[in-house]
Amino acid sequence: MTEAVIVGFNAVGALAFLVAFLVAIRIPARRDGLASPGVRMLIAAAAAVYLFVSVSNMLEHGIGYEAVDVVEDYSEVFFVPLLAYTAYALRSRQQYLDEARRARMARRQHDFLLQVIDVSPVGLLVVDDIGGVTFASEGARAALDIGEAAGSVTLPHPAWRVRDPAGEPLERGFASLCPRRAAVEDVPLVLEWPDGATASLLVSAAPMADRTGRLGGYVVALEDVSARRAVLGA
Amino acid sequence: MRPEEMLTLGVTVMLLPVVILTLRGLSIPGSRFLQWSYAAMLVSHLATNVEAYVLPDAFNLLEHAAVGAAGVLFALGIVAFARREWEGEPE
Repeated sequence: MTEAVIVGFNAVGALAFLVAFLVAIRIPARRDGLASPGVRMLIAAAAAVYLFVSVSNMLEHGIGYEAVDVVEDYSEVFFVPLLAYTAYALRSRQQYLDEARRARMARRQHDFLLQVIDVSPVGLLVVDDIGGVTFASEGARAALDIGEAAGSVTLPHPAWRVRDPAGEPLERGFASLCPRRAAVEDVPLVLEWPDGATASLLVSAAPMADRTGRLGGYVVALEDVSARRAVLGA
Repeated sequence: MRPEEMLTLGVTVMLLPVVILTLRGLSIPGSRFLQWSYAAMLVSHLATNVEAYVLPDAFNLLEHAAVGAAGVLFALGIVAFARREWEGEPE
């Protein structure tokens, strides 16, 4: 009677491990899925080990066949390491997928912000602490004739100079706007081109920290108000 | 009590915290079933070693019952995990 119950328990186990084995080998390998071919192999191997153990137990307790009993006892040792390595592989894969998802979201947000910046009528610049332009939106590029970077982090532009309304030049360009590293808003400035032409700008600026928390430059928003000035002055 | 049975129990006990903590950290359906499957396997290995000292019939029965339970729990865990892989995880 006891032997029959033991065979029954092992039959349930064998059937369950067979199901797990068959399911494991049919798990699809999705690019965004957790089940890499290695994970599927580990799960299938763990299931196969105990399928063998259960069948061996059924033979032993059902018909007294013990030829594979020693092999079965040793093969049992492999189940737990296989399960442990499966869990570890799944965890690593999940961490990789989480990281990839975060990177994708950050890239989407970055692209969205660039689109917002490019359609904004206000020109946006990032300047370093000596006034070199390191980033310019489409609006700022057009207004200030800023070119593409060519092997340098500082973007090239015609030698225009920035002056305050009294005509005093700002030695560090737009970087001179925040002497106490505080944000400024709607500062009227004059942009003077090499050929003597001028443009009236309304400029806001704020200091920007780098990765270490130190001053990494300034973000500058500018609007060409020359046309507005001309209309008001007319 | 045979050395291979002690070895299996030793490995199961040593890897218990690793497996349980790792499985608990996974946000996948079926992880709970796999943890219980491991626990059932541990019971089976304990029983097969204890049966050499006390209540051999009872612990022998418990050993095989635990194997059956471990199989069912393992299969449930793998099926739940496989369903997630078939259906895909919502973004």
